[in-house]
Amino acid sequence: MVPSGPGHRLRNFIAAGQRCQATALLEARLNLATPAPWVMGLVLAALGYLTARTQPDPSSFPIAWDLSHQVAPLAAILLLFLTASLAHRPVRYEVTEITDSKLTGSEEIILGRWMGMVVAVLVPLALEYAAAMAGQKIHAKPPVQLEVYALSFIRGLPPILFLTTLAFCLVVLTRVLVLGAGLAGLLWFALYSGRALYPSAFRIDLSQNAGLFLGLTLATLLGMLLGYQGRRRAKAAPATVALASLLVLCLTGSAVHAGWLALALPGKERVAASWKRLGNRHRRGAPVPNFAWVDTRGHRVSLATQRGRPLLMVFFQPKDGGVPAMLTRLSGLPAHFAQDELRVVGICLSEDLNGADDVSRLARTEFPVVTDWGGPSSGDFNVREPHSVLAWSLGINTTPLALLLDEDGREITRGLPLDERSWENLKLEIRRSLDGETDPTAGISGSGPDGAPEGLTPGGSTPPPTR
Amino acid sequence: MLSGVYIEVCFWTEVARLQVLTINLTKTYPGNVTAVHPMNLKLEQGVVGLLGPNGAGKTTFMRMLATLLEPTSGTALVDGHDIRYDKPAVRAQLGYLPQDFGLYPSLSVVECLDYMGLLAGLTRGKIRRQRIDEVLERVNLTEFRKRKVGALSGGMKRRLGIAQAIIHEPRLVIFDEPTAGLDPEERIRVRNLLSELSGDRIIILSTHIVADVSSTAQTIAVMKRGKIIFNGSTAEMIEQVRGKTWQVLTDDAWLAWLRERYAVTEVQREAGGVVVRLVADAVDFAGVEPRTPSLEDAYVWIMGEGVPAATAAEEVTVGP
Repeated sequence: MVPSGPGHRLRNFIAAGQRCQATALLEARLNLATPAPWVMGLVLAALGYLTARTQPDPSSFPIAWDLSHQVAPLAAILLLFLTASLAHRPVRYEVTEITDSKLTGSEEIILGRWMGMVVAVLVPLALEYAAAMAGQKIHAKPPVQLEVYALSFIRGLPPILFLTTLAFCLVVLTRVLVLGAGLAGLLWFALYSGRALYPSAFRIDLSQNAGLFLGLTLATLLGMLLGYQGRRRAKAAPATVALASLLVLCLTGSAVHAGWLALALPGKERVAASWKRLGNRHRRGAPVPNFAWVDTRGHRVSLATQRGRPLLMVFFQPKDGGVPAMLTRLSGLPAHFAQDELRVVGICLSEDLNGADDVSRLARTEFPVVTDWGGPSSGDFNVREPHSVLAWSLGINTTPLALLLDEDGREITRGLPLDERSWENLKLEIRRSLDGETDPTAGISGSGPDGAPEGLTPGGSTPPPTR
Repeated sequence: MLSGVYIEVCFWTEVARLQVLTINLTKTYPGNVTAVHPMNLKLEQGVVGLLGPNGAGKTTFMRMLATLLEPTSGTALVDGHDIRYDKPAVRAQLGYLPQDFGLYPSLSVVECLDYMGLLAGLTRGKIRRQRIDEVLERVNLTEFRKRKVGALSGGMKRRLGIAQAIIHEPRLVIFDEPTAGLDPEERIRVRNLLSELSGDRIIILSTHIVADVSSTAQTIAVMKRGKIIFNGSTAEMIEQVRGKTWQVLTDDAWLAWLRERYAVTEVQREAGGVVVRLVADAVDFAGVEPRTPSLEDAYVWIMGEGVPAATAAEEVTVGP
């Protein structure tokens, strides 16, 4: 008579956890005893160090942003090879025959092995970040911001986790190592050759889809357990049904999340209509067309609701140098111009939704920060093909750039100085603009609708380097 | 009333004794290859030798019993637990040593057993350590407890495999070809160990080496092409060839002739010619003498029924 009841189930559950933990520790130890993770760690550490060394802005944010956006795809491909090679160990297949006959369920073993694999992936990644931080510390004056690197690490991890899990599962199920290499090749193509071909919700070089990738990771694991167990379990066994139900739930959740994400991308689904409505670029002197977004705090922000008060629109990209500090400074402007009821809105020109989120969190901004992106193709901000409808409309061709609108939504001036040294100058110029004075030194940048020359530097300041 | 009590006592006595019962247990692989034909078998306490040539379906049968392979149809009950739907209960009573197995080479013997013990349900560290000491003593590996698994000899690895199979004191132990690839000395050591293990448990010992079971098994089941063709005690098996075992001194020319007609179980070269041992109902040959039958003779005889005896004899490895 097998004992049953809640107490027995709890004991079983705890025992299963113990077995899973023991397997994870064992696997982690075995994985780290091989040279592969350390060799990969050295390669990634070199990449991290070079990222810090070659970044024009030596502060933490742009370096960390580069790590999670520029280096992450390459890291994912390398780590995919690593996980495939760790999963493909003949001795483990032989051990499996014994472990599967034990009291433990195969799920515990597989989960434990997967956790051991995750440790082997985390070590090279941690080395990469450590090397980047060391690089920043050695070659730059700004202090290393651990919080910024931690955020970047967390942002970049889900897609890497998904891809390595996929490789792990494929190799464990099929025992064919080359599948890992095939997946890596496919990923390489997807990242570097087919970027424009796949939907934005799956833009894996970006770190904005953490929820989706975590869902897919879980679905992959469940799928593997189903496939692995399917061969030796009755098809209608309760555990099989439970696994299948969880898998369906997980995939449905991921699909819903992907759909929501696709809809949530600002302007994405409306871009065609917006471009049609705009017809051509906005003409200076006319009120700026109304645009609406949801800001990083989840509030709706529209240009129409800002009418009746002057509005400073600050266009930036997360990777611009010194952006967090700039936004922190700008938070003080509404208080400074309280009598004029000046409002500030930060407009992030990046398809990475997390970019606006991270930067506004780091800067502790007190004004809304929105993401204005939604062009038909992907890639970095391009002055000739900007993905931001508003930026395209207003002829914004460089970032960071500030643009001041009057109470009627008409542009008063643009190219206000935004760097730290010109802080007083900025306030002075805003004051002059609000008072209706013309500053002959204020530059006009960009191929604006009024035919202004392209590529001029915003006047009165030396902008931080942009790439 | 009294008879009711008697029935109840009998029932509980029956339950306490471990029993493995297969009910039309069948396995068909893709391509319509039937590895195990519907099998109805009852195994009881003691060492059960599962004999059969390579490809007879022994491993498939044992993997199904070990819950590692899903039967195509039918099922088996281990102490009343269905191998299809009650795997944890079956595994709790099961110790399994596959034919080809691997153990983490970079772990020490103790670490390996500690992990296997945990997986087998020994969650309390103190009990686990105690059991590790006991099984190491039993398989004679105590002095190698700190040695890495990768540095063990083939025989030691096999003994470690046996240790991991019995660490949780299972009531059903399945050994698949435990002596394969071992040198004679190590083979005898493993055989003796298996004999010592039997008690109130069922030990299924699969092998194609008759000598492995002759000294250890109380019951023998012979498999051929997915079917059990004999199931009985060692004595019953030998009884099959009583009065049918013969020996004759001849030469090479007649040896070929004898091979074509009879099941030859042994050929020994001597100074005066070739001594041929064979099994047959009757032998029409000058100088033939009856001999006391052995298990090997019986095995060859059973395997040869319905197929040319010589073919069957070739498939069997006799003796260490």
